[in-house]
Amino acid sequence: MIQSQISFRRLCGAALATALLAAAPCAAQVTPAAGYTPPDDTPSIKVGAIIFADYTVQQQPKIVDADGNTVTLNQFQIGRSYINVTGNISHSIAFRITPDIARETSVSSTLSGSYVFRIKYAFAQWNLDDYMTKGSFVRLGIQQTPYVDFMEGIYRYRFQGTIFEERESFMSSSDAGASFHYNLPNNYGDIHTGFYNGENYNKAEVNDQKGWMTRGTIRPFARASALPLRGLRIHGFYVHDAYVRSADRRRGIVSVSFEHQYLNAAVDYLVTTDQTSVTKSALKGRGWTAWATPKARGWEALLRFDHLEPNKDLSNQTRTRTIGGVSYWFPHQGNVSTALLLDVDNAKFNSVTPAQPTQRKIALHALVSF
Amino acid sequence: MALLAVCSAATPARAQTAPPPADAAPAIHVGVQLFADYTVQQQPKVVDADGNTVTLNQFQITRSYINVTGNLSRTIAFQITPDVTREISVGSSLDGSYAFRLKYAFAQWNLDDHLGKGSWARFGMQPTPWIGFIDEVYRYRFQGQGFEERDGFIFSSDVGATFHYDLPRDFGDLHAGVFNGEGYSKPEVNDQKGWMIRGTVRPMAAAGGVLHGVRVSGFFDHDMYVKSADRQRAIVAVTFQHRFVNAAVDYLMAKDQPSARSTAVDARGWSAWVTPRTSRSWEGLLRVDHVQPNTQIAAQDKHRTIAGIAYWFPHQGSVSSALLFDVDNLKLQGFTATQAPLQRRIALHALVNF
Repeated sequence: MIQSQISFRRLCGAALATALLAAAPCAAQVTPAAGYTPPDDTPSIKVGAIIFADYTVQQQPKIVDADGNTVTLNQFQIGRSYINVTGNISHSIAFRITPDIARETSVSSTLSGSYVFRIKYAFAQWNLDDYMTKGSFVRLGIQQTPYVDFMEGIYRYRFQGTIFEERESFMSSSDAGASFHYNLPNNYGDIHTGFYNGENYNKAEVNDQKGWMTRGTIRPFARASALPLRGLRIHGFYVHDAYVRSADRRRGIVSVSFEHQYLNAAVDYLVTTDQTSVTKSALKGRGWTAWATPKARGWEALLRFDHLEPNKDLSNQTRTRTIGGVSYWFPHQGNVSTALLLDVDNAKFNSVTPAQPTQRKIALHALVSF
Repeated sequence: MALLAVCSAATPARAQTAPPPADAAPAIHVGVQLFADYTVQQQPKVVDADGNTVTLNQFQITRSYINVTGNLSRTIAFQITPDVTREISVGSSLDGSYAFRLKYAFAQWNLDDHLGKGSWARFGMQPTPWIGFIDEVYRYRFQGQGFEERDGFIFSSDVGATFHYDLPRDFGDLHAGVFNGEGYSKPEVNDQKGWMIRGTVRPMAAAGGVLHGVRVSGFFDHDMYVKSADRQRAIVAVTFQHRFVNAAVDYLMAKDQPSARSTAVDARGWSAWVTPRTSRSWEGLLRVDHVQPNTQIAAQDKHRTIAGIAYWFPHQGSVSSALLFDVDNLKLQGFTATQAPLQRRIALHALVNF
């Protein structure tokens, strides 16, 4: 997220000065008060990168090679390769363009097998710090949806894999739309709401339906004297969308997260409704995830459990995922980061049609973020 | 100068600045150009997957340039610009994604030392002489392409070698080159090349005031689909640039003969637009395009009208950002029944250019 570089105090000063100038033009002749610094409107641009690389051994299920041998698939992969181009046109207008990669898997394409760049984010942003609290903005373009990117900021292990709601394909991290973000005063939380195509960043719109997404976050102990309590936040998220007219695509999430020097953790509860046509029955799903990342001296653990009932009417049909790993975060100056993670990711499928075997992957993941 | 001249595709005025000193160190710069919009297609209606007749509306990205420009010395410069396009091949695993592809990639030799400021030779994938020029006068490419490009007569970029020369004392310029002629998105398929030349004269260059902004331009593209099968375009235009209004009138003649065994089709068209603006950053956009795709079929024509209002945010330096609200209305007469006779889009467009 692109943040304005100027302080709230300076903005107040700028707003006050503007108001005074507008009200009394003759006041423009007066020397500005000492200490006042106007907003910095110098255009600037930055380039950054995020790379996720891994070596993954798929212990289960085994695969059959071209000669008919049953073998253990193992491969080096690139999971993400962002090139982040961000900048400010002025203190109130910013932008971001982020290409990411995707493997072309179509055998008919001349690029089959290649990692091809495609747009992940491309948006213009109007910062509203001059009028509202710092961190308030309006965005237009392909941008973060309100929940996934926000939660990934707490989770920090996107380089192991996507969070529960995205991995189970209930939502995407990016979509084309217009959104508004507002920070509550005194760090008590924030609201992010928007109007999106609802088809995600990798599909074109096909009809008149739009996805309305809203996330609200409250930090109830923002001013508590006990510092650990300040890391507690409660989130609510809702998507109201439709596949076609009167055919719902809805997601509701309630979650609690905790951030501390020695531990990040969260619990999410998800409910979903999917009705691909008015001629079909609505499918209602529900699930939950819980994760924790205890840490000390650069070493961290990752513990996560996901549970999903894709159809509440078939309660014996479940998908569960268990992730256990240990990572090392290299010490750095500034906000760059690099890490290595060794983990086991185990997914079990119960009464799923068609039947799916247990999937177990053991992987070494690397993260570079600049 | 070298770097700034390279940036001329986006902001040609920068090329007029003083060249760097003789010992200019190699430098590289990154810029972006972003077009985002929310468009409601009022006509024609579409039918959704459930059979309902609905009004298609969507958020889109129509341009996402990442401009990497630089100079190796004061005489050698370069530009690489990827842009996005929607992958619509249903067989592709990227179907629906905005995939990056090359829009510009060229080396440029600045000839300022030999032919005067603003002279250069380019080699590679680069702006074609007409679109690169007129887009900068028009400034509303983020609403949609200019007349000649939107109706499929000319590409904005192609692979080739060109030469540019600025006439002395601001009396105009000349841009000529040889291109594949297939556009930047297609490979060459045969031996034919497109020869393109644009000449622009500013007749009142010596005069001050309003008349200084008048320019007269001529463009000719001589190309062939295959041997002895013409693909020709000719344009005559008058443009006007002023602090409070930009305007232009173009007249186009085109000839297309896909094979020596087929009959040539002659097309005619014109476009007129004006962008009046106030001193408070508000602008209007008014444009009319008219095309007769085949002069032998007098009843067949396309008529487009665009009207909009824009706000250009004030900024430091040469960056720009704007919002435009517009209505784009296209009427088709005498075409096949598969094409809707009326297409109307109402849109909010955003521009960011750095």
